[in-house]
Amino acid sequence: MIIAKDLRLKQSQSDCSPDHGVATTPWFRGFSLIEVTVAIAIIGLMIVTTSTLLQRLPVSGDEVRDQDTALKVARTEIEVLRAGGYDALPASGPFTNPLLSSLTSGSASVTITAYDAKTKQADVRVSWVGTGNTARSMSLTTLIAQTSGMP
Amino acid sequence: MRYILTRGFTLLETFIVIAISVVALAALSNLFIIFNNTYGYQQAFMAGAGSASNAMNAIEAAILPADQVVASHSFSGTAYSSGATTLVLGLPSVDSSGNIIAGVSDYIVFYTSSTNLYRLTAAGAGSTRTSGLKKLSTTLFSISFTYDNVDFTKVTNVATDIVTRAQFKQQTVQSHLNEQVYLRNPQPLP
Repeated sequence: MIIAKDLRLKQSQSDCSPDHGVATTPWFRGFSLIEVTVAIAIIGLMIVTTSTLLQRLPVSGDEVRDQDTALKVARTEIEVLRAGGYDALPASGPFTNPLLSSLTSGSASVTITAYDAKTKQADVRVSWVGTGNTARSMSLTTLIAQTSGMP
Repeated sequence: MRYILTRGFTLLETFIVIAISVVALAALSNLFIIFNNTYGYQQAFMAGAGSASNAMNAIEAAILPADQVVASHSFSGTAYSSGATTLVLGLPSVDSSGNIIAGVSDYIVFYTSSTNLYRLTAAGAGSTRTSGLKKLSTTLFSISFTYDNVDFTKVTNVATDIVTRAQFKQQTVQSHLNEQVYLRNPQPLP
């Protein structure tokens, strides 16, 4: 607006016929409908983008908490397996943990495979359903040798 | 100085401008409200879920290297006893070159006071651990320590259960963590 006003002043100074005011020299024609619409559309787009971004933040917070919970479930199982030692290793299959109920459709399983003659490999996997019905999972792996375990 | 635009605005033009301003203002205030809610929720989330995770990590970091769960120990005059909501640990003192100092122990207690969870450390002479009090959580809802043996000197496993709760407007952010931690080198205190 300020620019337009300045231009108008310049125009009126160079135009040496002061009696012909606005009507004969409508130098500033205003904004066209298209210009205004485009400007409003751009502003609207910016606002919508920002609000979508902000609404996603709590979602990512929940995802982090779920991952942390799943990590704790897997860690506990690894600790139990390590403490139990080679001979006490269970067969492959699901295991329970009180934390699993705080995950949506949470399930956990352990897979025991032979790593070599004297070592077994334990894969602990925790699966759950994250926000937006996406399947999530995380897994931890450890090796347990025949001589391991707590006294 | 001469003003060129002299006819003013028509009523219709004014209405349109006001209408557009109202829409823009509504959109902006909506944005502000969303931002404010998000910020408040994040604060509550950090206070709740964040502190539960931090507290669990601190407890795990203390239990893993501990020698023993101690039934009771006096921390500069105040005695703390291990139980369902208090955990006293004796840990080997380690000097700056990484060697265990013979005959010296560090003591760490985790205890609660209303919704606060604290860690109090009393380092032995020459230990690299720093003595002092640290507040681990201000949103504690419940905590419980379960031991695998009634005799604290024989405990090798501590199951820790933490629930934190933070409130934001009508939303409650709750976080529940549970972990079994084994003392890696259980042995009598020096």
